[in-house]
Amino acid sequence: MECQECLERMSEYIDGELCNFEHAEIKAHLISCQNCQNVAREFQMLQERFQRSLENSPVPIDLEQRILIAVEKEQQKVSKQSVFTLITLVLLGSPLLLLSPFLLRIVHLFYATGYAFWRVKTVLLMLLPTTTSWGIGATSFFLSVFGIYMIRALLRGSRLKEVSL
Amino acid sequence: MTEFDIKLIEKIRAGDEQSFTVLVKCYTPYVYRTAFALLQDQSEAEDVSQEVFLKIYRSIGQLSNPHAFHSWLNKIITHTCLDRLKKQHPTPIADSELDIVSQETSQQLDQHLLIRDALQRLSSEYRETLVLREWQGYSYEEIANILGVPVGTVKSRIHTARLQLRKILSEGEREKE
Repeated sequence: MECQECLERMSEYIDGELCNFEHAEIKAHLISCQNCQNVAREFQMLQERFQRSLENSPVPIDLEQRILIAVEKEQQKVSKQSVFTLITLVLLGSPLLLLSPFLLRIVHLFYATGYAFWRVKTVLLMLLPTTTSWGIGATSFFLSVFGIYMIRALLRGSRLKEVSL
Repeated sequence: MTEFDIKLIEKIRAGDEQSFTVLVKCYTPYVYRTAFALLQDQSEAEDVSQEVFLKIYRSIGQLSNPHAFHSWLNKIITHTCLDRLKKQHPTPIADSELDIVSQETSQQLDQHLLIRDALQRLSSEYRETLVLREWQGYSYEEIANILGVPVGTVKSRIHTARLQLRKILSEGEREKE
């Protein structure tokens, strides 16, 4: 191998980008050629100096803090956007819902069903003994309280996590 | 990547706020230095560092494999820097200009400043290719994909960049003596 060819492929040799055969060829040439060996050493030293220089380059002291503040602002922006989106959707959707006959039917259905249940319950409770009626009432109260507590726990769990400084 | 890094990424993905703060503290020097090496501008490098961490914050949930964090991070840094470089006006330096060693360089005794100055003298194309190779450790093929150029161009850019860097450094050292 000629020196010219070896020098042209020196970077690829240093970076391990040659196939085994080419690598071995250059390696063999370097053993016999002092000049090319010096260039190879210089390239390797250049790599080390380059890396050392970047590793030691100073970083602005307050950069971390500024990054964390930027991230916190971003998080707040995202939360605000979600709230605004929700409000906009509600504002846009509410007139449609209020005016729609479908909603009126649903309200009527709820009212009719509720009234029917109320009637059935009243008749049943009148028939049952007083102690059982009180028992059913107390159980319903505790179930309602427990339901409210569970809904609150679920809502708390779904809150967005914030990045704090 | 260390076990600590992997656990840290897993915690962030699980929504741990403190872990993200730790990540910022651990990786800010690397992100800033890489950005600075590519852009050679302190304020641009600071802006890019912020942008990179915001991108991480927004999209770390999409990173399915915590072991791939380092290469994912490198991709974000590189693409953010390259986008900035594209927006800047290119200022290629002719080979003849490399012969002129500034007064400033000859006065600098610190090796770090000497390398920094030499890097600034390279054209942005040579510099970005060399930084991707020497600092970020990408292979020639990966660099070709990132920059959208043939592998042959990457080979020639890296080799020429090294030759120019060697020339500038030896001239700077000669001036120093």
